[in-house]
Order: sequence, then C-alpha cells, then structure tokens
Amino acid sequence: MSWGLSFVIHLIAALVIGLAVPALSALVFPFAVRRLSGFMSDRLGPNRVGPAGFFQPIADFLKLLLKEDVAPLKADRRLFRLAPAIAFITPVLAVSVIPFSKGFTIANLNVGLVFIVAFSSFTVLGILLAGWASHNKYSLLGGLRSVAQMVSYEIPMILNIIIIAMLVGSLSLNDVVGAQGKIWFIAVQPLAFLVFIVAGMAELNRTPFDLPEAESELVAGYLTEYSGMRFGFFYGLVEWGNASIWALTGATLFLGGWRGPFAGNPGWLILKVLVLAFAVIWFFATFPRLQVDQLMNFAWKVLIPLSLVNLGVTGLLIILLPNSFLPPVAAFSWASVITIILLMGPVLRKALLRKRLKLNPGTELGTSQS
Amino acid sequence: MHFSTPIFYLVSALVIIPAVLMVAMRNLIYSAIAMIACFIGVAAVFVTLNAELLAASQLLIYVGAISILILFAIMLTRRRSGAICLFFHRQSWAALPAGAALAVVLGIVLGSARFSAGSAPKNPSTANLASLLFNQYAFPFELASLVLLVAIVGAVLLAMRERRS
Amino acid sequence: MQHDVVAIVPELMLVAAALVLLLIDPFLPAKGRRGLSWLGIMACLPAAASVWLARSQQFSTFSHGIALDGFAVFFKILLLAVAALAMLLSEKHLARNGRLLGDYYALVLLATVGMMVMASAIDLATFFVGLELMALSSYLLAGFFRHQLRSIEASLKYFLTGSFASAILLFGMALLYGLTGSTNYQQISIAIGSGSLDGHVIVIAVVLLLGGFAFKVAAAPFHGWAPDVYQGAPTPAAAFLSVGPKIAAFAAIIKFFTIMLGSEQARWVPLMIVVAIATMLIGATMALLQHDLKRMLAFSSIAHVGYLLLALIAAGQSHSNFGSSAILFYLAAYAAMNMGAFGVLVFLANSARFNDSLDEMAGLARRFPGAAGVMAVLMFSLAGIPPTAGFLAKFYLFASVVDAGYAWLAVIGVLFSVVSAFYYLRVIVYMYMREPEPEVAAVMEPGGGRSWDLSLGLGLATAVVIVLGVLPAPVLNAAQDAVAKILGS
Repeated sequence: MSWGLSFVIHLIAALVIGLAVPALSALVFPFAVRRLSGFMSDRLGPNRVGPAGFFQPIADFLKLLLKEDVAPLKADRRLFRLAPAIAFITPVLAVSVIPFSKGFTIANLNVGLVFIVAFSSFTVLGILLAGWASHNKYSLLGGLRSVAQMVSYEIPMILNIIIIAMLVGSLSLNDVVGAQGKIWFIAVQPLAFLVFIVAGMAELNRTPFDLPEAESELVAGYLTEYSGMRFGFFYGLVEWGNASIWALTGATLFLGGWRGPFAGNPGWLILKVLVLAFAVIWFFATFPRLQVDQLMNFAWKVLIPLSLVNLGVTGLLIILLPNSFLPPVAAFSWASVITIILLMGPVLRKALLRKRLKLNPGTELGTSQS
Repeated sequence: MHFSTPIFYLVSALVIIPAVLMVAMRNLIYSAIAMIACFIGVAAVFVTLNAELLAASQLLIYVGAISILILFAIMLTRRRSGAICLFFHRQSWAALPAGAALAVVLGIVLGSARFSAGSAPKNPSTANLASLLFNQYAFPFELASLVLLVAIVGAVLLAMRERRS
Repeated sequence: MQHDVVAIVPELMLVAAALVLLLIDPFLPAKGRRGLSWLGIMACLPAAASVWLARSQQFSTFSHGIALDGFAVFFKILLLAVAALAMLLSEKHLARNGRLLGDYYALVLLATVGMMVMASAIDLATFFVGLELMALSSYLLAGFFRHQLRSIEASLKYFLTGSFASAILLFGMALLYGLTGSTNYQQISIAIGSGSLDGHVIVIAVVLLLGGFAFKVAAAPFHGWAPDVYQGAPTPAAAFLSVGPKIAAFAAIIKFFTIMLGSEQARWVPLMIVVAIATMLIGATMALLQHDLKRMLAFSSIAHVGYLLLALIAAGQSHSNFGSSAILFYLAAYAAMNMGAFGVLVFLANSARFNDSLDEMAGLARRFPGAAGVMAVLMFSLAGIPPTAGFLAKFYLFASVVDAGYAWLAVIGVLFSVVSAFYYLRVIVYMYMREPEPEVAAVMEPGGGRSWDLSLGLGLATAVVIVLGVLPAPVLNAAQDAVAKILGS
C-alpha cells in the first residue's frame, strides 16, 4: 500500500472511531447513570421516552441541540466558544492509540502509553479556559479546582502506568496486551489497579471526587455558564468520552485488553469497558463527596507515596529477578492490598473520632446523635 | 519535491506564528494560549522527525504541566480584565530593524549551510534514547535534578510566607 | 567506574552539605542557625582537599563529559575558596536583615557545584547543565532579601537577562553541534580544525557564543545588568556573584575559544578586540560617575573583565600558554581583592546604617581604622599599585598581551588602568582626608557589627592580596601548570 493511501485510511479510521467512542459514551452513559443510580436508590429514573426510557438520551440530545447558545455578556466569547472544542481533543485523539484487537490499532505507536497521558492535557486546558472565560466566580473557582485536582491526580496515575510499563518492558500498548496472554495484570498488580481506579475517578471529576461541580458550593463549577449544545459537549462528549478513554486504558493495562476466552476481539474490550463504567456509576450512587483539603491531602500524602513505594519495590524486584519477577511482584502487591484493607477500618475510625472530638468536644464515637 | 517538505513548512508555521503572536498579544491569557499553540507546534516538529517519545513528553510536560501552571498563576494573580501590558514598548522600534537584520543574516547563512549532524539515526527508538540518557549523558541528567532542586528551593524562598521566628 | 567517582567527589561533598543544610534548617530555632555557615565552609575544605589529592590525575570520565585535569583542579580550588569566603562574609549580614536561613548557604554550595562543573566540563551538554545550575542559584541569591524591592528587582533583571544569555549561548552551541555532529570539546576541536566546515556558520556560532558569554561575564555591550544586580543583591551575595560566575565563565571561555575555536582565531580575535576595548571603556568611564560604592565596584569589575578579555586575545593569538595562565592568575587575584572590597561594605552595613554611598566613607579612617586600612589595601590592589596582587596580575596580563604582538592593545589597557586608578584612589582620599558630614557621623554605631568570621574573611582576603603581591610564584606556577595540563589542547 502506498504511503499516501495508508495515511488517508488511517486518518478516516481515526476520525470515525475517535468521534464514535465519545459520541456513544455521551448517549449511553448519562442514561445508564440515571437508570442504575435510580435502581440503586430504589427509584425509577427516566422511563417515559420509548421502551424503558431507552430513547431518553436522544430526546436529551435534541433538546440540547435546539436550545439557544448563550454566552454571558461579559464573557470572553472567543475563549468561551473555543474551550469545549479544546477539551474535546483528548477523547478523540486518545482513542487512536488503543489496540482494539490483534493487529487493529489506528496509530500503532511504540510510545502509546505516554501519548494517552499526554493527550489528557487538552481536557485540563479546556476546563481551565472555560472557567476563566465565563467571567463568573463559580466558574473560575470550579475550573481552578478541577485543574488542581486533575494535575495532582495525574501523578499517581502516571506512576502506576509506569509500573505496568516496567512489567512489560515496553511503552507500546500492543506489547502491554501481548504480555497479558497468561495472566492479567490486575492479578499481578492489584495495588496499582486500585490506585489507577481511585486516581481515575479524580481525573474524571467523578464521585467521590466531583468537587469541581459541587452544586452546594459552586453551582455547577466550570459548567455554570454553559448551556445548550456547548454544555452537552462538555458534559456528554468530553466528560463521558474521557470516562470511556479511562475505561479503555484500564481494560488494556489491567484486564487484558481485547483478550478473552474463545477468541480475542473488540467485543471483550467493550465488555470490560462496560464493567469499569459500571464501577464508576456504582461509586456515584454509593459514596459521599470529599472535602477540598481531604482531596489534596489524599493525593499528595497517600496516593503518591504509595505509588512511589510500589514503583520502587517493583523496579527492585525486576532488577533482582529479571527472569521470574511476576510472582514476587504479585505477592508484594497482594500483601500490601490486604494490609491496606485490614488497616483501613481502624485508621479511618481513629481519624473520624479525632475529628469529631475536635468539632464537638465531649462526644465519643458511637454516642453522637447522627 | 519530497512530500515531507510542505509538511515541514506547515509545521514550522505552527511554531512560528503562535510564537510571534505570543509576544505581540496584549492580553496575558491570550499570550499564554499562543504559547501553548507554539508548544504543540514543537511537538509536531518532533513527530515529523520520528521522535515520538519527545513529542509525547513535550505535550505532557509543556502543555500539560508548565502552561497550565502559568495559566494558573496568571488567573490567580491578575484581575480578570487581563491586565493589558506590553513591556519595552518604546524600544520595539529599535528592536524591529535589529531583529529583522539578524533574521536576514541567519536566514542567508543557515539556509545555505552544510550541517554534518544529520548523520544521527533516523528512527530514534525509545531504547536508544534511554541508553544515551542513562549512559553517555548520565552525569548531566543527574545534574539536572540539582537544577530542579534549586528551582523548588527558589519557589519556596520567594513565595512562602515568613516563618514565625 | 572508580575513576568516575573520583572525578566528582568534591561536587558530591558540596551537594551532600547543601542537602543537609536544607534538611536541618527548618528544624532549627532562629538562634540555632548561627553556626550554619560553618557547615558550608567545612564542606568546602575537604572538597578542596580531595581536589588537591587528585591533582596528579589526568583523565576524562562520564563518557568524556567532564575532565579531571590540572586546569579543573586550579579552578575548582579557586571556586571553593571563593565559596568559603562568601559564606564567611554572610552570616551577620543575613541575621541583621532577618534572613538567616540555611537555604542561602545551600544555594551558594549548589552554585559552586554548577561552576565547578562548568570549569571541568568537556562536553556541551554537561557544560550547559552546570551553567544553568549556577545561573539559577545566582538569581535566587540576588533576590534573597525578598522583602527589599531592590533585591527582588535585581533578581528579576538578572533572571531575564541571564535567561536570554543562556538561550543565545545555547543557540551558538547548537550550531557547533550541528556543524560538527558532536558535543565533545575535543571532537568539535578536531572537526573545526580540519577546516572543511562552513566558515559563515562558524562566524555566526562565534558571535552567538561571544554574546552569551559576554552577558555572563558582564562585558560590553551586554553589561547593563551588572550594576543593578550588584547594587540590589544582598552585599555578601553580590561579593559572590561578582566573582564566582565570572571565574567559571572564564574557565569555559578559555576552553571554548582557545581549544574548540583555537584554529579559528582569525575569525574571533578581531571581534574580541572590539568587545574588550568597549568593555574597558565603559567600565572605566562609568565607574568615575558612580557615587554608590556597589555600583562603582560593579563598573570596576566590568573594566576588569575587559583586561581579562585582552589576555584571552593574547591566548588565542600566540598559541603559547602565556595568555591563559595570565587569566588564571588574574582571576585568583581579582577574586581576593573584589570579594574583600565587598566584604568591607558588608562590615560597614553591619556596623551602621550604611547606604553604600561614597559620602559615607568620609572620615572612615578615624571611626573604623581597621576597615579603612583593609579597604585601602584592596583599593590599591584593584588599581594595580605595587606591592599588591593587583599590580602583579595586571603586569603579567599586559606582558602576555605584548608578547602576543598586541603592544597597542596593552597600551590602551594601561591607559584605562590609569583612569581607573582615579576612582579607586578617590575612595582612599575620602576615607583618610575628608571630614564626614555631621549627619553621617551621627548614625554610626561603632562596635555594633563585629563578627569574627567576617573579620577572618576580610583578613584572609587582604592577606592573599598582599602575599600574592610579594610572593606570586606558587600561584603563578600553579596557573602555568594548570594551563599546560588542560585536556585536549
């Protein structure tokens, strides 16, 4: 195949798949959130449009499309309009480095892992500009908060991606999937997987880290002034598109990518993505929101040191046992996960008690009214 | 003409036009955005040179971290009207001909120059890069960590509230 | 592998001391920081000793990134002495301004590490990282008194101009790499010496390198930052900044211009002559107009850079080691006398509400006879009057210029030197032959600023100035030896 033809084919594939993934996510996920969280909190959720409410997303889409596109009078209009588009670059580009099945990757880069992380910069930039351009203090605060959070949690995210890269010995996502032929990395590095999930929730501004949109403090954060299709862009395409990218990355790094019983194909990958997305929704329905100070402390004082220790020990084991490092790494990782889970209860209870004593001296744990 | 030539000019424009805009813009936020565009252009230059890791690092570090922090600093310190300021405005008339003359001289000389560093490998693999960085250039690489340390110390020294003594 | 570590043991010592300083500083109460300077000074001594023990070694290491040769040994010991002296001068001044922090000494040490790397680097990448380490630390030292507007202004100016200088230098280095395909000094030297390279590009590279270095050493026409920075920076930091970076930059300049571009001297010598004359002219004439002593010393240091560039021309022209060794000896003498002069200003600022102005020097001999005596010796030396180090250094330097066949340049240099004598001697006249204005005399508080480490530093600087003036042979021999043992020449 000539160079030019292959370039055109790749370009078209990149555009089609890159646009399809966020678009499908924007249609499926918001609806799934509403129905599933409705189910979890013993409500119905939207069930009027079409059978079991299945056409609700389309109705929502049409409504957003028909709404007037308003920009605040004092907003910086150019940036206000540009910001959603900048943020949208991330999901469109990041899809192109994900391997969907054996030999099917739109852009088979040998440094795909780094690119996935690098592309996430655009969303950060878009959110920051949206917050600034809106000329609204809630927007600005929401934007700044969101960006501080995303930048902070990007560090543990990258550290754990590096752990996987070390286990594989390559930065290519195809090699990552290839290395999981015998065992998925979730079984080798459950600790990294846990941190990946937690940091991912924060990166995506999802519960319990959805402070940027904390409606009780910030109205709707950087989204406050957005309406109509621009709101749809941000809320649907960017946020849920990024959720899909995160799930695709997680499935590729930890759950064996397109591998599965019978034959490896994109179906398995989509199934794994749906499982991870379900986890996101589950968290949404289960967890309360953190406070700002807790959020930052958790990133810098817990996740990053934990990831650094994990990185250091894994690296050491790889150097010491270059031929059979997977069992000891798995042993270490599982041991630390179990330790953390066992310790979590007592430590949290103590911290809670200390806090309650500080707020309301005299009360003891278990005797307070709430 | 090789097919890469027009791509090269396109990518160079992606670097140069935002760079000029960055200096010329009066609104700091716009300047910062132009700078980000310039960084993205540089990443594109790396891509055309098959240096994909460098391109990704450029995006990750310059667009994802440095520019964001700069924007953060501007937004937190400036009043939002985007203080309009242009440094050295009286000197710009003298700077223009001087800069133009330098550009012409550099253009003429470097345009016709023969460089021998083109013998570098065409496809710098990540492994090659790593072995260069951690073997031949290990010392400057480690020394760079001291530069970063000094930068951190400096940030604390200049920005931290006075200690209670 | 063993060799690798031997070559950087002194740097490692300084880094370790800097890290310890940074670590323990936050845990100390304000009074406990009193002795911190000695931690830094005590790190310099074993570092210098380890440099001295390795003086007979001659090899390059870290994939030919740095060289351990006689040249590096001379510069490393000189730089360590400068750092130790700077830390001796500092403590009391920092305490009086409420900024007695371990970070200061850590920055001095890290800047010294950067300078030592610059002096021993034989690879462009290594050199540049060392340069940035030195530069970044210097900007911070200039702005260390962050509650003083002038200090912050100095830091900002230094940072902006210095960043431009680094960029210009980097452009020049990139052109050298592009031309020769190597970052190693020796290989670049061989490639340029072959004469098959594009001469126009070499000229551009030379101009860019010269411009970048001119910024770093404050040579005309890129000297503008120096007076503002030295005036605004904390005085002990100014003492360090006016000497350390220049020494390191000249170490690099010698390697760049006489080794790497040695075969191209016909291209850079004419340019260098123009720069040198302009530098001497601006330094000597502008210093005449200054009433602020720190600004005066800044312009005087610009003039001294002009003399040093004359010797560089000699070194490039004559292919003998005379010029280079003259630069080395001059740098040693300049370090002692310039730091001493700034040290006297530190002493006065500690003792009184001293604003560095010439008027306040009036009648100093009666109020502070010791300080006045030290200042007089140092001013004689800066002016180049025997029997001081300044005289011998200048004599040796101009001799090297004459030897290289540039008698007329030497004559110009001597003329400017005569002009410069005026403003140095003016200080002595003020100190010994003028009565102070009444309001100036009133604010002096004798005895308030005594600190024995500052006195020790001043004493050492003066002693070096006199000893070098009487007994120059050891240092002179060391300088000649160092230049003879430069790798790759």
